[in-house]
Amino acid sequence: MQTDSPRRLLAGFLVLLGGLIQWAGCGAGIFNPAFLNTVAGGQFPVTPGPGADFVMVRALNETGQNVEFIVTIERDELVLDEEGNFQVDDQGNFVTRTARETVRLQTGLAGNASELGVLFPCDVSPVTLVGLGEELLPSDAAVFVDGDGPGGAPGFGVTAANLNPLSLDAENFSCGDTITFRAFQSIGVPGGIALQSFLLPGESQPSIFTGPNTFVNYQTFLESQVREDDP
Amino acid sequence: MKTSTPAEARFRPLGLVGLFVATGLIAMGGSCTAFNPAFLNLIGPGDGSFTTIPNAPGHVVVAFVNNAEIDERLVDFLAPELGLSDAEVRMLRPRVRLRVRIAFTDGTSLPIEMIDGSREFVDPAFDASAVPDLNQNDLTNVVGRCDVSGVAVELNSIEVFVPVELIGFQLVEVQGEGGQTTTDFEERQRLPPGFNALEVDDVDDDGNTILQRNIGVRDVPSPTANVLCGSVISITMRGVLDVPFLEAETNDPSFDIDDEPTVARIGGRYEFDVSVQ
Repeated sequence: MQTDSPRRLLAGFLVLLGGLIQWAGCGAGIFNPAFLNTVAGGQFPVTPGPGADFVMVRALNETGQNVEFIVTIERDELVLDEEGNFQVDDQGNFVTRTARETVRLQTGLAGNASELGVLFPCDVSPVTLVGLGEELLPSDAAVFVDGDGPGGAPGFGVTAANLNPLSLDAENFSCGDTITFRAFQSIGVPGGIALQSFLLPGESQPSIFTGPNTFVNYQTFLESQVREDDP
Repeated sequence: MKTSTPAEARFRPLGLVGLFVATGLIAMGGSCTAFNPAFLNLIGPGDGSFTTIPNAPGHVVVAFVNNAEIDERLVDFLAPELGLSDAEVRMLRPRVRLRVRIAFTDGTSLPIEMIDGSREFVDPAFDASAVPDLNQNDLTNVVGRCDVSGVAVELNSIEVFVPVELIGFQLVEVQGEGGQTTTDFEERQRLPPGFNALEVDDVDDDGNTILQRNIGVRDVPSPTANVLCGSVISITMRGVLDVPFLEAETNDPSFDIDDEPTVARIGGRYEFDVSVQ
């Protein structure tokens, strides 16, 4: 009596193949390193750490409009004396002062241009706060939406509201981590734009990659550029 | 009664496993994040649940390195008025801004304005609030998402901040007593401190320089293409910020407005090097 088991085995194989094709279809192709990195990691680093001393801030725009992110950090900056050496107090501790830096990250409305990041060195002068808005206040404009880009009209501002700055002291982040600020459309909020923050710890990431070690290469390059006069 | 061959008996479990795996794959197939729920929402909703977003596929770092210097004569002219220490003087760099365009393989692109250099090296008599870009925080690196198809500096966007007022004189004939005609410089214009666009040398059809400006034709920042994911693209600027001094008339920075080579070089002389690693 003939059986249809070979047909069942073939059906199973075809279903498996279909699943794999569907899985590959959600990315750029199953053998594309970029796709592999998104799904499984290990191709390229997505955090500066554990090998490089930066905090990466990644601005992710999912609003469908141009968005400018106002990213502000605070760091404990080492104070220099007149000779250019780091000042120390009576106990031998380095004297620091709080310095604030604001950068504006312009993101496009679609595709790869909807995301942009920036690296803040955190080895010598630790980064202590990271947030949106020039003064890191809830009433600050955290992002500007639907602007014209550098030198053009800024668009309308959306406040940071309850998106609090991330604090080093509160262990919200560490040197080597990637912090993502995401702007997305949301009903019922002012301007129809909501904000979220995400963290990817650098210490959770591998230190060996099949592709270039991007951030370590960048740090090595910067160290080769330090002039004799720089502290 | 149904029977099966030894081959069928051997491969039936394989088919069942394949079916089971395929079912799982299809169930998760709608989301590429299922295998790598990476980023966690730092501030989640009150019910304790968390949200994830997918990893980026990789990054390309674009960095601007300002290794330019300031001419010693200009430093000697301005530094005493600012009360800078020797260490601060040694660390002075011209304030430079330029626009970089990052093109992605999906057809989108982003213009990025990068700025770096000393903000405090400016004539104290000048109202710095008139040029807000002078006090804008430095932006010397950006991290673009893969895949990047090319990075290019927009040549007409490179500017350097000239920190002193420049007085423009013109040599004119002056009728003296007794009908004698002499020549003398007369003041014609005053250029306040501000950002000055850097220009490329004028060349003839054979590539020979006919008027030297701020950047040689072989020293312009060249665009990069076919950028591999994970690369670091560095745009390094070298050169010297200097200003003319027409010593015949004044000790302040000044120039003869009819001296075309001098006028063309206002802002200094620079070269760029773009490398990929």
